[in-house]
Amino acid sequence: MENKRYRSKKLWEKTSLALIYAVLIIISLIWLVPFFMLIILSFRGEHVGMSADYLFPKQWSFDNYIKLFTETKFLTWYGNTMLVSVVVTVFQTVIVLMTSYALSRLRFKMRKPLMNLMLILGMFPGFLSMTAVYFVLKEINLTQNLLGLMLVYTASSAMQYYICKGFFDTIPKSLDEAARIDGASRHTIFVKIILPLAKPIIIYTILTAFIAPWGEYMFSSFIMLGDPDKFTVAVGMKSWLDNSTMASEYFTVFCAAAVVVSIPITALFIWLQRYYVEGITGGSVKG
Amino acid sequence: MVDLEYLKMSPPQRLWFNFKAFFKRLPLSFAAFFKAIPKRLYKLWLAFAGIFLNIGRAAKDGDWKTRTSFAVMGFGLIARRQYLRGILYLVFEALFILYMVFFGWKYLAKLGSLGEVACVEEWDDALGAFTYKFYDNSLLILLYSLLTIFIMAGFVYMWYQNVKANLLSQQFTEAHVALPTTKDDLRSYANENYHKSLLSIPMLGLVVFTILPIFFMVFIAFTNYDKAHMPPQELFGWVGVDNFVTLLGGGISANSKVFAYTFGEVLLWTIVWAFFATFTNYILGMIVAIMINKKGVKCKKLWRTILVITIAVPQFVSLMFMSQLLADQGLINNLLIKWGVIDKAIPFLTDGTVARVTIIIVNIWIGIPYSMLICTGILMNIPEDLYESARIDGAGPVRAYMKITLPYMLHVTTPYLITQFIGNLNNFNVIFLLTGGDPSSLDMQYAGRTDLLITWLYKLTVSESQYGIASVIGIFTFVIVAVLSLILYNRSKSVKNEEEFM
Amino acid sequence: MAEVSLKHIYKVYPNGTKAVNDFNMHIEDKEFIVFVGPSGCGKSTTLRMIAGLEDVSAGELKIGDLIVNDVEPKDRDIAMVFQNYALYPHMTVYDNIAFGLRLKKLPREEIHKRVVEAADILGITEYLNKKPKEMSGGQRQRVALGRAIVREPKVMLLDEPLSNLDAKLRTQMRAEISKLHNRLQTTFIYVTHDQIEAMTMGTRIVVMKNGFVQQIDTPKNLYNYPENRFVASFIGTPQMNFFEGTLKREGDDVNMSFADCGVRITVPYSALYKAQPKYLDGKTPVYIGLRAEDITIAEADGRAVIKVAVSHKEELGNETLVYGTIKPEGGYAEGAASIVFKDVSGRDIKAGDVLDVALRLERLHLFDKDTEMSVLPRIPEYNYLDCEVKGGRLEFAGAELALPEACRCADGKYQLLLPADAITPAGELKAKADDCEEINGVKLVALNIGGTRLYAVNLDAAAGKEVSFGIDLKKITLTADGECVVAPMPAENEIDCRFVKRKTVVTEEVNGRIKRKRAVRFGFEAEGAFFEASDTAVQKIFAALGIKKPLTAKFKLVCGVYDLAVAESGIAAKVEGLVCYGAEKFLRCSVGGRDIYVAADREYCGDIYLAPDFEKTGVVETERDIKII
Repeated sequence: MENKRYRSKKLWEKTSLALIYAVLIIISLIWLVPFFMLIILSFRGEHVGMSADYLFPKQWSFDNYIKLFTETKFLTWYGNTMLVSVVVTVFQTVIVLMTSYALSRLRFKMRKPLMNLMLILGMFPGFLSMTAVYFVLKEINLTQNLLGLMLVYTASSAMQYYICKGFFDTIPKSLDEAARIDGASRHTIFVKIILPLAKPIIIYTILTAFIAPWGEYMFSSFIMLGDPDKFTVAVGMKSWLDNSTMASEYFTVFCAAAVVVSIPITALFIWLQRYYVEGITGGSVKG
Repeated sequence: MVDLEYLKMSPPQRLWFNFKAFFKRLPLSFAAFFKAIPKRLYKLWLAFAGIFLNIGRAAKDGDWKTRTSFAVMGFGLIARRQYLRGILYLVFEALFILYMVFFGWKYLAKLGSLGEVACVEEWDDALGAFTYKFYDNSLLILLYSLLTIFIMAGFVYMWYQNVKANLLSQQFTEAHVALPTTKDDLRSYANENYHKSLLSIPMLGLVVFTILPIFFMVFIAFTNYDKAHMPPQELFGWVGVDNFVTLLGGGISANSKVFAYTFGEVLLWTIVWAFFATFTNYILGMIVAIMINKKGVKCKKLWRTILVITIAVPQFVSLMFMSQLLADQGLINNLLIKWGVIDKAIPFLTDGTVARVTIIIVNIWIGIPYSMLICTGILMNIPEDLYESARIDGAGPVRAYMKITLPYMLHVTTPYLITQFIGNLNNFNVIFLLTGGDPSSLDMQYAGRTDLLITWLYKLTVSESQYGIASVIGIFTFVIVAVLSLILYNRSKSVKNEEEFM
Repeated sequence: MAEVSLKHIYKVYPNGTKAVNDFNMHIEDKEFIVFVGPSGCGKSTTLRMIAGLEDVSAGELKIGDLIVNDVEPKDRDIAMVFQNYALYPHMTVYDNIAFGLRLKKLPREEIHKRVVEAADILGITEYLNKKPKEMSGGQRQRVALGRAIVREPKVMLLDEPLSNLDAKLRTQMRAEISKLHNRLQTTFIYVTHDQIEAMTMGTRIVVMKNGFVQQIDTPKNLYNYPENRFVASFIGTPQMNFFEGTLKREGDDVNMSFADCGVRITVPYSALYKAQPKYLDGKTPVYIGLRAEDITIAEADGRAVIKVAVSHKEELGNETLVYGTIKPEGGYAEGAASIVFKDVSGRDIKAGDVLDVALRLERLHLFDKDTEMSVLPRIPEYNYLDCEVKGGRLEFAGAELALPEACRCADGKYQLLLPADAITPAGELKAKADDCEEINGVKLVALNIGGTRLYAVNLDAAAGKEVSFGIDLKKITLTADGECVVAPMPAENEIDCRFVKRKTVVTEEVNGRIKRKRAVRFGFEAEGAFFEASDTAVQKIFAALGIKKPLTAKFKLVCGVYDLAVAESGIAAKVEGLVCYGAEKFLRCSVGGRDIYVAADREYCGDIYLAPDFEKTGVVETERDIKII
């Protein structure tokens, strides 16, 4: 009796494990296959447009990549996006850190109202303000200009304080107090105590700030409207697929471009995965 | 006693009890809300009166230095050797006056009419052609008037601060308390005033690029700014609540009914979409996380990395690629036809209902890795002994999931769920890059079957230049999002317990 | 050098909760002071106020000779050790200890010298290159101590430094901190919730509860003479036993009856001399407190024996803790009837046994049931006597003296309430000094006058000697059937006032020329009179209330009867009567609806003006009831 139960339990465990493995393998396939398809398509040498009914190229070639770098403006777009990303990353990280520190560690009268204000502002559809921003930028001649895009991306970064503040909140208050007794000013505490401890969240902030411009379409398409030289990769690559005639010609080039865009980010991501996971889990739990 | 009775009930009974209690409480909570209004008004009044009291006190008790600073800002401070702050106030005042005289006033004066003459055609003999001379630009008038109002509000605030600072410095002097010197002032910006140093730049960005535009768009909602009224060639003007009426179906134009219908459709789909997008991702992500984390499953890191890679690939790449794959002539349809699974292309993205389902499924594909990561982190935090005691009590894995995992996760991740929900209400990328809002529909005004409010808004502004209506939609979107999230926030207790100081 | 003085310290949070109420203490140099109390009692808040991490709402905080209310923590010459150590995780131990010194911009060699020295004292030299993460709790606490001692502070503040350690380590660190105190010879202020830590380490202990100081005393006195039930229960393990009961005096004996079991025990009255008579009437309920070690299993029938039904016991090896109840028919429910005592006899005791236990009545503690204050204070505030008034003369306990006009009352029998400090050295009365005790610097003399015991605090007498004394009749109360017939002169008067600003013109001589200069003066305004406040007073008020509030807040002047004088101008008062105590005369006047007593050299009538002596006058902010000066 005892024995039988024991064995049945073991059997159950084994089948359930097998089931889980099966599901996990299927899931992995579902998730990875489209990307493999993307990579394979990027090596397709023949021009059959969209209507091809096969996946593996009849003729493997680098033509798409060559075309990408020679005939299209992709390189310009790539440079644009990289420039914007780097600048935005620097400023956004600084702003987010400053805002989070102030809201987490300092106590002042407007702290709560400010947090509520940012909560409410976050509920406005971002695009609503876009038209006005566009005209403001136009007035200072920053439309169709990368600087304008950088400004737009950085300007409201303060609103992304949430996750970072949550992290700062977990650093014990007594560290600040000990440092104050040791004679440190608030600024010294921020720079010498809190920042060195905030490495994971700084990396998280950098990572998210860096990635955002690569995938952002709404703002960049609006600001860069009509000047292909100033497109970011997202806007540019979308422009290839806007109509079906273009799409059939550029589809494989698109795939090649997608591979080129994805590789560095993916590498970065896998490298810094730990911090990303830490940040995203920490931030979602804190109230 | 009541508690005991409640505890005795079976789950459905409890649900029914809570349901009844909620409606029983409703009038009470309404009453409480309205009861609180006079108190709040009184508080507001006190705060308001406090301002005038302070000004009055400064006028009454102030010495000549303080009183002079009513007109010449910072005078008292400079006279009492607080040079830095005094001079800053003075410079601020000078700049403000210059701004108003040379710039702000011109625009503010025209705010009422939003301009009289937009553009005049003139015959230019020298050129032998008509030239256009542009005068009033309604858009700029509105924008700069708003900016001026902001600056004026800022000035009034600074002026009040100046009066207070002067009075305070007088009081310090009188009480024989040493006044902070310029050096002290500077040092305080690394100490007790450090928040000002830290927040001034972020807040400036926020005001100029978020708050000011939001106000601007709110004002636009009351104008007839559209294709027919495009500055600088044409003026636009105030139309009151016409746009709101149009959107709600009360307008006289034939468009109005269509607009109202479109709005209803899009709104409904937006909410349905947000709900499904949030919960499918969440539940499925949790299940994947549980599977990966199950004891005995090997290569946990590998499975996780596979999913994380898909986060790393920029979303627009995967979305656009998907939209190509799933097109009627796309690879997937072609392959399926070739293999003989189907005869006719499946309208993944071209049939309203199918497209909606496709979008939600693709969103699952996009979103699960995120929710899996979050759930993994939290799952590892659930104390093991909870499960052990559940096992001893005789709970199977399903029961344990329903009674321990799910409640724990829900409790802990409510804020995340709420932000996700709000994010999905405004999720531009997935819809726009996947379907672009299509398939379009004849019944709807500038919107397709899969358009969300935000993508509709985008189309209305970018391609249709219907700014007035777009602003109204934006305002409605905000109201809906705000109401929903406020309700959700208030329902979740975990949001309220922000760490506190004392 | 590093004395710490706290005068009328308050901590009031914006929502109105008072975390610390009127904390008064003078800490001598080199003392080891322990603040102890349950969580939320304000002990940490007080420490943090001393450290400068919390603002002082009101009061005066002095470290050394400096008032530090508004001084930054770093400039207070203090160091603090935190409960969670608060070590900077990203720095090595060396850098942790050196951090403060580097911020002070000390030369590198000096820093190195100090760090190494501190590490040497604490035995952490070998860990200097490690990060806090790699160390155990005890080692981390040493580092935290090291960081504190390199600052060479005048005062060391320790906030529950041992509560994160396990029991064994805690005992060890306790000894080390005591050793450190001996070695450093600085003032230590130590906060803990653990009474054992408090008792073993402190030279003096401050017991706090709900923001109020309960008692400040040496460990021994706290244990032996708790001033109230809270201190009695908080100090000592196992907790003191408390039983409800009543006391009834019958001649030289007092019958003590336990409410729960109806047992009566006779206590000699001599043990209860200091108790007020009202507790001995057989009706007033009191708590009877006895420590576990003061209860033993009775060997033979004695006077102080009660029965205990044993519920369970805890064998500790050298002794046994026996738990039970004195309520024979009751269950084992926790309540007033439960009792615990220590048994060292090694007797075999089983649950359910009914034992006779003897109480050591000389170690008896009694507490009022309502106020929870000790019924047997070490220094009794009042003497309670029966007396008789006959033709203007007061007779009590065989003594007799004339009553002044102010105390005149009808002939009859009265109760006399005679404060211990109303007995003055010189006078016509004579008594024998039975006993003399020195208690916390106060000399308490027990007088025997006609067989009645009187306690006096101002007398200089030796035990067994005859002394003569007088009575300050201003302080006595006569009651008949609970009604007050003769009330004492109130010690303090209260006058409402405001803090105001006056613009005046001062003339001063500069280079032989007289210059008129406008100036602003602050002062107190009461009933239309203005008194200029001294600079220190102005400073204190601004320090306590901020720069804006003083001019709108309400204040009270608190001054004694001798600190007010009739003057040409001042606070308008209306004389309502004259109170004469022989040669001394007092005016009873009304000021703004309040009764005020003023010492006067002659009789006045009608409207007069009063001037307070601001050297001796206190100022209280009315709204929060905080004493500022």
